[in-house]
Amino acid sequence: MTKPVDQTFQTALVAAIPNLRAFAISLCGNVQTANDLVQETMLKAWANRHRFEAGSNFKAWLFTILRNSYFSDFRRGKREVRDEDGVAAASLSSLPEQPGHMDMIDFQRSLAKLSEDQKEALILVGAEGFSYEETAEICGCAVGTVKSRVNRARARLVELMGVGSADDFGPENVTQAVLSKASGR
Amino acid sequence: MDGKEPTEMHSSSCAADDTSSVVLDERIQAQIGQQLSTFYKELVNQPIPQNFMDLLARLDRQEEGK
Repeated sequence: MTKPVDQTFQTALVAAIPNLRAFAISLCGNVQTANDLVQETMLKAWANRHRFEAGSNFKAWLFTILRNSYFSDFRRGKREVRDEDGVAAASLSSLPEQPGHMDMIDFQRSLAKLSEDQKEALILVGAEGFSYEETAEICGCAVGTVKSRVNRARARLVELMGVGSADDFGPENVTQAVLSKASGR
Repeated sequence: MDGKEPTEMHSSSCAADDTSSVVLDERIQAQIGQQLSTFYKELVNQPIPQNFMDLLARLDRQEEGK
C-alpha cells in the first residue's frame, strides 16, 4: 500500500507536471528533451521526497530540481538537440488555425535567442508568476541579479521583436496613443 | 484633433517625438508581456504525455514492492 503522505506527495507532483513541462520546453527549446527533463525531475523529487520541508513552497522546490538538472546535465552534451523550428511546430501545433499563430512562432524564436539565465528569469517571473525572491531562491542567485536579468530579457525581446512589429505601431497608432495620453484618457 | 493646423503639429513635433518613443516602448512591452503569457499558457494547457502517467504508476509499484 502507498502511504498517505506519499499519496499526497504524488498528487501534488502530478498537479505540477503541466507547469514543469511548460518551463522545461521554454528552457530547452525542444519538446522531447523537455519531457526527459521533467521525468528526471519527477524521479529526483520522488527519491528525495523525505527532504521536502512540509509547509514550504512545493512548486518552487520542484522548479529548483528541474533547473538544476537542466544546467548540470541537459544543457550541454549529448542530450541536447536544438531544433527551434521543430519545437515551434511541435509545441504550438494546436494553434495553427488561430489568428496570431505566426506571432507566437516569432515570439518563440525570439525567446530562444535570449541567454539561458535571462530566459529562465523572465519565464519564472513573467510567465510562472514567481516573486523575485522566490526566483532568486530557485536560481541560487541574488534578488538584484534576478531583477537585472528580467529587465535585460525584456529589453532584448523589444530589440528582437520591435522591428518586426513596426506595422503594429505605425505613426498613426503612435500619434493616436500620444493624443489619448495627452488628453488624459 | 481634426481642427489642428499643420503649423501647430510642426511646432510641437519635438515634444511629441519624445513622448511617442516612450509610448511605443510601453506598448511593445505590453505586447511582449501578452505574447509571453499566451505562449506559456498554450504550453501549460497541453495534455500530459501518457508515459508520464506510466512513470508514476511504476513509482507506486516500486513502493509496494519494498
